[in-house]
Amino acid sequence: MIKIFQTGQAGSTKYLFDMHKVRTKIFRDRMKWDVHVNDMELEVDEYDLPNTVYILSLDENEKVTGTWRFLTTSEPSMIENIWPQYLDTLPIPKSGTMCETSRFGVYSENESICERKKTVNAVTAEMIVALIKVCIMCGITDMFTLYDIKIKKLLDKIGFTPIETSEIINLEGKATLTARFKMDQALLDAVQKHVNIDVLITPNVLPPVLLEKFLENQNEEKAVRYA
Amino acid sequence: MPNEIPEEYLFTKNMISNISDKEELIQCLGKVITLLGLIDSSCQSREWDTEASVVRSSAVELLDLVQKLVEKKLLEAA
Repeated sequence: MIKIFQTGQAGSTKYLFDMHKVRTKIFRDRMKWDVHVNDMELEVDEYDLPNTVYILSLDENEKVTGTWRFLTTSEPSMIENIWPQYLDTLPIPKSGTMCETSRFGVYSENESICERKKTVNAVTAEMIVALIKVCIMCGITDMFTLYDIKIKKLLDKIGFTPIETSEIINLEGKATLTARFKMDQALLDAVQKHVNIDVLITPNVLPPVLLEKFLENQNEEKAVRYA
Repeated sequence: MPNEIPEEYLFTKNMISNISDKEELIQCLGKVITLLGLIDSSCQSREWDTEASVVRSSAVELLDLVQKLVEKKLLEAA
């Protein structure tokens, strides 16, 4: 099940806590990243802002298994602030209709490697489909993100292919790049053809910051239709 | 209302008004999340229904303060 929310949204605090705790387990404990973890064991950084949107995948007990963070590029950008070297070959325009995603991770406590792999694949597919749908609904045209090139094969396999990438840069011993994805129906069709899943996203599940964009997008579409 | 909530609220509000760098911003964001957690878990236990929505709104206003601060910093940097 997909849950989309922003900090402070009524009824979402338990997911907010669970998400920050899961991020501690994924990024500090498993990936060994040097991240800020506070005394409540919550991994929080300066991009967890009030306007930040979180796309979560929840299991049958409503526990967070997948997390993905989303900020429009008009908000502070991790790539620009921390790794500006990628911008030389792939600039990121400041825009309220483009986004940057980060902190993608899947967490499973299943001891079987086979079951964990299944969870990772299912949750990844679910979150990608949800993100593309949200972007289409809200008029977000492009998504930028940074990843290890080892992920490229997996993304190609599920049809989630960027339209543009930066040069490959060695980041802490890993070959990485930033990529730009065109968030449109063609990309959604390509992914769904491979993963064969659908996620129902309706306006009432959008957090305020995205609902506003959805309504603006609706008005713009109407204006174009009647022009 | 549990005593710790007004204390945490005032402490967090004061922290926000004194943010001057990235580290302090991160601490404040963590504090607001903690405050929301305290409020929401107390609301669920129905200890103080009548005050809950007012206090929660105040905590959400702290988020607005943080957002405005970040936007101001962004404008200054542009």
